[in-house]
Amino acid sequence: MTAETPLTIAGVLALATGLVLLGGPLGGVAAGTAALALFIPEIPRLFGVLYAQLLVAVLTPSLGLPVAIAELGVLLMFAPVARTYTRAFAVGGGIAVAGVVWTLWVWPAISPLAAAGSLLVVLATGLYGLHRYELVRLNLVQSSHE
Amino acid sequence: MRVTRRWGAITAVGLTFAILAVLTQSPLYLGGTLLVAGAHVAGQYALLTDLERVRNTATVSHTFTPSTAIEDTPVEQTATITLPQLPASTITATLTPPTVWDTSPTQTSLDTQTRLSASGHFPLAGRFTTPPITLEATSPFGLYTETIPLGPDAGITVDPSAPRDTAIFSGGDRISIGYGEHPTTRETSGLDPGKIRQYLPGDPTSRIDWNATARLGDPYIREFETNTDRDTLLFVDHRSSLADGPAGRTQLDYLREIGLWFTRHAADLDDPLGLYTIGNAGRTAQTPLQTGSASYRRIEHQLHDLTPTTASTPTRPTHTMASIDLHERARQLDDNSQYTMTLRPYLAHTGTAVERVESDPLFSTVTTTLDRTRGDPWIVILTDDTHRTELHETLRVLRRRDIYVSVFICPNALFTSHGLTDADTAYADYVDFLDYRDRLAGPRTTLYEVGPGDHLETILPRASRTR
Repeated sequence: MTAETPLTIAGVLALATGLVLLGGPLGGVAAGTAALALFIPEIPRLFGVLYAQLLVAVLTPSLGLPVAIAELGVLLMFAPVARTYTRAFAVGGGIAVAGVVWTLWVWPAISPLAAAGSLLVVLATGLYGLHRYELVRLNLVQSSHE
Repeated sequence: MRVTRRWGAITAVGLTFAILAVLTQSPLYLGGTLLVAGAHVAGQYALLTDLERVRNTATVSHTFTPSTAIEDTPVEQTATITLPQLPASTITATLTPPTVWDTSPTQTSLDTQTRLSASGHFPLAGRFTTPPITLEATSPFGLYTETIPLGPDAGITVDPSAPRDTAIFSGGDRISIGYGEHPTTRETSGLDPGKIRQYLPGDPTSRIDWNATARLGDPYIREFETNTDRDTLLFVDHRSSLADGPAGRTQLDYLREIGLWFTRHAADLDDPLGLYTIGNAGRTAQTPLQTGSASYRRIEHQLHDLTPTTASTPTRPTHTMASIDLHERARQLDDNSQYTMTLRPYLAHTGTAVERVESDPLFSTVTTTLDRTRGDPWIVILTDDTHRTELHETLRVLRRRDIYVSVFICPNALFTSHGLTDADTAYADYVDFLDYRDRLAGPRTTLYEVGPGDHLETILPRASRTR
């Protein structure tokens, strides 16, 4: 078990609370498995967090306060990594928040396929742009005559 | 930026969330996709900022020690990286050794003070360059890696282990030794026309040069010369005192070059050549006078294989005074002073110099070999000036036998630990050597100094002025 920060513990508790509210005893069991996945060092933390997100999505009949609590718990699970890479996670979190806003805005208006597709296209374009930017900043671009 | 296997897995999970969102028409599944996207962006950004900060703030040195090396001598490649602040990302620094070292790159995690080193030797001479240190960073969650070069290349010049600046001087003048065909000193009826001389009673009439006789009015004989094989005996000293000098530039290395040079020229002229090597304990190898490519090759191999032998006791330069000088000075002590009274018993029991050196390796090897060799070979001695009395007495014995001898001496003054940095000491030592060298001179004896050309040319003008 890895050394966790109080924020992470709070995140697990929030996730468990949200899932119990959403799914009753089944939600509690699900929260336990998510916590287990998160605390086992051999499982990458990102996979543990995504598993928690999957549980939230599976157990959610409709949006509401329990979902918000559970989502807060999911986000707090990033606390140790975010503390190390503060600026990077501020940027990554900004992207995620922008994506949430985009989703909430377009989801009711267009079909789910179009909403998910447009989100993927925007994200892929942004990631590739950042990759090209990184090559330029680090002087790793091969000139045409090399 | 390169993606890892985990990048593929995480991206697949993100896409799965998007598909689930479409299939279940639940936007919460897109939360997973957005988490993956955020992790991707955070990973790229962390990698970029950390590498950029390291590259802009790191102080890097990347060198070989020594910067100029000799073949097959140990060389250390060192890189140091100093950072004002430790980056958040895990960054591994890699030092790539020269390809010829055939060793794996050295790696370590980057810290505020990072030192990488590798050691090896260069089996070849030339200029070698190694690429800069490389930094490999891994992003948060292990999604991306990136490698960038850091700092300068490192270069080293490797010189061959054999000296390339061998210079030969004789009495202060740089020379090149003539070693071509060698005529006999006696005029005979050989094949090559020589000079003419007046006819003497008893000369065969068939040798009268009628053209010269007609031109000069008196009968003249045309002498003819013939070239002979010159028997050469090489005596190479490789005692411990010959180990002075940097690796690949020791006194023995310079003498070896001379020995190889003699061997090659003897081979060119098909002259008989013998080799006797002398170590601290006595003769270490002998190759009697022989001709033939196999023999020359064997001698070359023997010369290449020579290394300084070890001495049971430290070798110090012997006193330069030969027996005659010693006894002459002893005779001058004819007073009854305390000094004379003290010295007289010692001088009374001092044997002759020959008695004192007859068991010394060089002296005994040369004299023993000559006793067993027919004819009057040309003796070539390659040594230093550590065992001065021994060399002096050896030459005296050779001169008494009417033998031509060439001595190549590597002066210790050119190979002392202080080198040429202490100029006055070096000059004084070299002047002392030249005085000794002058005492060695004699009939049928040719003396040469061998050493690094730049050292000799630096010292000689000053030494000549000092004298």
